[in-house]
Amino acid sequence: MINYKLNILIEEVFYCLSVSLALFVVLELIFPRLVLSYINLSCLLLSWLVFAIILVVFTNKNKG
Amino acid sequence: MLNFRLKIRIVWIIALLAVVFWLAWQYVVPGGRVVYVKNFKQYNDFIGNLTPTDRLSGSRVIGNPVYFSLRVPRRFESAKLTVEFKNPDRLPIVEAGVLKDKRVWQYDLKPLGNLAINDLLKDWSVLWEDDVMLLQREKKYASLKDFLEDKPPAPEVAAYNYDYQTDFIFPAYQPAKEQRTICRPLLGAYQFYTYVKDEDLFFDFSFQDLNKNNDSDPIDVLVYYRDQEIAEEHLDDDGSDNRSLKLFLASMPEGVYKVSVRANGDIVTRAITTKQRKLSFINRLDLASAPEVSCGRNFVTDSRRVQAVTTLAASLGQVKIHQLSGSAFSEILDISKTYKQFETKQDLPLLSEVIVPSDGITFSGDGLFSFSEEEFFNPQTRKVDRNFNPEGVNYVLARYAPPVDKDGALTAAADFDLTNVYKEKGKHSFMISIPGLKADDDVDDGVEISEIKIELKGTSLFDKIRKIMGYK
Repeated sequence: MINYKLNILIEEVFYCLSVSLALFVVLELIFPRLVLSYINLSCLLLSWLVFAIILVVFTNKNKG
Repeated sequence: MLNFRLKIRIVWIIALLAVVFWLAWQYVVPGGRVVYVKNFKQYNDFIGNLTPTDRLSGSRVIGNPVYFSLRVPRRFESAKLTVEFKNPDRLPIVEAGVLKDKRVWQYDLKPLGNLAINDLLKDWSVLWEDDVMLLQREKKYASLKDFLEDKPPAPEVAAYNYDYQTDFIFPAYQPAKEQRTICRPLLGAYQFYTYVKDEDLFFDFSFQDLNKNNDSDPIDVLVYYRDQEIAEEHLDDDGSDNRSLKLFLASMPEGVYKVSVRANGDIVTRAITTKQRKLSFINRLDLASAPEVSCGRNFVTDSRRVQAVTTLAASLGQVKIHQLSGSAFSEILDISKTYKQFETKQDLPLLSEVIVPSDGITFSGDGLFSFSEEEFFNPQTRKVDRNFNPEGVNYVLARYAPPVDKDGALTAAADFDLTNVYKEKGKHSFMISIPGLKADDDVDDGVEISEIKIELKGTSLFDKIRKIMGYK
């Protein structure tokens, strides 16, 4: 049960980071420096990558 | 489980919307007021780094001037710049400015620190009215109004950041009967004072467009009387190499006039034909290189210090300076390198003659420049600048607030009007000016800047909506 909830949590964090990344990139293209003045998109991208890897590993483990 | 996933999703959607709303709030600045702070310990996206780096040692300014940019998310009307700095080497003047006109590289400078006035504040009587201070060696006037109505003799008054009108009059002035032509070529923008009495104001400028860059090269000539603009002439860039502009104002009242020629570095003034007998260039003489012209190699100045710089190898050589009626040289400036500023080491006499090896040299100083002693006159009030000597001065007028001193750390503020200043790609350009500070001299002096804070004020969203609704 805990594993299942953790799986959902990791999935939702990954979706959140994906939507955030896409949204912030679009906003930055339309309004230059709107996002980059306050948010480091490189850190956001790195976090997205980390959670993507965790999600893949976690899903594979559960399938295995 | 669906409930759990839904709850998590609602939470991150709300959080993301909150972040987007917050970003929009920072971008629009609906309250009309925002503050940006740069303390050199962490990156700031709005206040740029100080440049150029060869005038800096960390956050210590070792050369003059330095610049920084301010990126603004939208239009603001005013800026209050607060600078925290240390001045252990007692550099006399520290000022800050915002770029008003890129074409003539004009900065609106405001004071941050003036040591001469700070020292006078300890011993002289001080009178404050609004943001103006009147310092008196011995208290004579009870109010600024009394002082301005009485108008003590001009040599006894000095001013700083204050336009003190003295109604300068030449008692024995006689207008010239014939026109004359000044054929010393001048590069770019310049300003000069002239005097009119019982005559018209007439100047015929002949310009040459070097066309070194592809930008348009318009020319503007403005005339000021008692600090008010009274005439303006504009000359478009018609693509030709040679252009001329006539300035004619009939039957002008007696007094001092300031003429400002606004042009970029592509324009050379080849000749000025005029009937005016008096012509003094303000603070700067940029002699363009014109080897085919032979119109003399000297000029006079009342500057206490003179700086010279050239970009041309052919203009290197010795500049000789001597007291106007004497023969021995006071000083020799050996301009031995291009792109390096050379300065006289000692105070020059009241009026000096400067003999240059060739044109193509830019001279600057704290006084005025003329091409002959007959043309020279100085209607300006004495300034409390870095070479100020209070001897003979009994009154100082200044629009200046001394910095707050906290254990050697000084905090000073200056207000700027942003409504008509230059902005490029959403950025304003600021400058910190410390006259006389050089990075390439042997003196290890500088000003340590610890923090720059800028408070911007503009129309709020509410006022903007009211304004729009008001038109419907």
